[in-house]
Amino acid sequence: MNLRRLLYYLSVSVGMAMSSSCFFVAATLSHEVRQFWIVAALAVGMLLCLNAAHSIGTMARRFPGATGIRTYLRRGLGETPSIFAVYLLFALIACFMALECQVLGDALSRYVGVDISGSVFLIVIPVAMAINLFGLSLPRIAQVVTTLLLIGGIVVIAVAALAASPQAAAASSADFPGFDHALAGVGLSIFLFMGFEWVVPTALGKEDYDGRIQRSMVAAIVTLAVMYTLFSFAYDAASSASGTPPQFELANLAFGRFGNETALVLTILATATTLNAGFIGTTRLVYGLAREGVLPARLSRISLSTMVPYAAVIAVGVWSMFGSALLLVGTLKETIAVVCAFLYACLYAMFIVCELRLRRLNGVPAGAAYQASKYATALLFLIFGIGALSAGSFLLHMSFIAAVFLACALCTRYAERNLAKRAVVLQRG
Amino acid sequence: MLQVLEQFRDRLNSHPDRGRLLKKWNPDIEIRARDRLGSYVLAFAGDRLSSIRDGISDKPHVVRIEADELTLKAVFSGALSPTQAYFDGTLSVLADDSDQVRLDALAYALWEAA
Repeated sequence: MNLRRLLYYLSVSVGMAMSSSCFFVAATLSHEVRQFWIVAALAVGMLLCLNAAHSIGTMARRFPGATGIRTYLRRGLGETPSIFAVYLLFALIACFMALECQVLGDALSRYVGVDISGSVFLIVIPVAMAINLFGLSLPRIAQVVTTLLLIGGIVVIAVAALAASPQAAAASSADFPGFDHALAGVGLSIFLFMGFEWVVPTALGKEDYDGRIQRSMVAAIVTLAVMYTLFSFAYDAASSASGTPPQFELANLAFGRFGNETALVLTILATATTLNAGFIGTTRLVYGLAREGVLPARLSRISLSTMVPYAAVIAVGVWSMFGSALLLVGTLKETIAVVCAFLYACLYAMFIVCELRLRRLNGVPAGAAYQASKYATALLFLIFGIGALSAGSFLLHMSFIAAVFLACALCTRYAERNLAKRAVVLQRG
Repeated sequence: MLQVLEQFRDRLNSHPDRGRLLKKWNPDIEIRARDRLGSYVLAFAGDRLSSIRDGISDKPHVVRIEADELTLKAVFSGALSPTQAYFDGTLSVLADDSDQVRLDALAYALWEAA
């Protein structure tokens, strides 16, 4: 029973982090840093995320069942940073959905031989909306099976591609890629791990917050690190720079004429394990925030027959489609990926600082070494997050970030005014 | 605490939208005050809150709510919004998404929609 639960949490944590976008980002990582330095970049990213997981797990124990980004940050850092972080998350969701649909579209285009990558979101997002509007859900075992298939499939194609690749035999330590590329490499690795903490609200019992959730996040991060190392290493050794989606390149090298089918199945599995669960989580967050007053109240409308917050579902769907439509404007795939990595690095840094503050506020002292290492980790997240922006056009990425931050700041201001108005109305009432 | 829960039961069972709000929803809600020993179980059956008893539930469909006694009394008397308490971290609700939404809908119908 305990092992089954742990396996379920592990599969949720891995499944939420391992999206089809990760194939694209893992390949981008191997363009920034090569061979041994891939392992180094992923190892640093893994250590940073393990630190973040420890902070998040500690806060989950303190606030079992809570919505982390709202509750933890509000209690630890205050109202304004919490609301700002929520809007950062919404910006991230739009970017992520866009990237996910684009990568899935690239895979489908590769398979059918016709470029449909720009229009896949017109089907995928409405399907996700329909699933949520009807309140459909799969049994827990489906999550475990799909994630295990995904992990197994990626490991198999990576190992088989390495074995089949003539360049792999000659692979040895590459020269140091330079600080800018090294920073970008670690920054991109944050993208590959992001989402592992979405397992926290799925706990089936309060006792799971005492250790099982945290252990599952640690196991998930280590599993992801091993998987991505194999994949990126294999891609670095085997890549023909043909513009083929990386999972197709490796799968074709590994399985020959069944390669395309294998790669397509893996891409669909990766999308399936992330997209709908992310959609559900975001919808519930939107509903709760609308009830609270941080978002417009009309987004809290629910169907009394199905108990589905349909207004939130539609809002999240429309928002995701807006993000996806932006990608049609230009080749912004890499920009979206590095922006996601940076935004998530900011969120992880906030979580870490928040945990330290909560300890102080609640009178639980943290040792000097503990504090120093946590603050250092938060700072490193920001440094590597900025480093990720240097993969490609730094100026373009910074402009994007500035626009996102400005929009989030304005939305935060709106939300605070709304909350203040509600407080006055409730007092008068 | 028991008195507050009984008033909650009476208010809920006399609400005009009770049938729609509780249709085919038959969990046990286990309520535990962190600063006191013991817990209460609210049993739902037949589209109404059928009973309140001491103890814990062994039903497969259980919603667990936990907070300090003051917060629980405020939430179940309508003095404090459960959404507010939940996001504040003072109220812990362990339930699946649809149950959480339903609980919130109940609170809204009982105290905010009037």
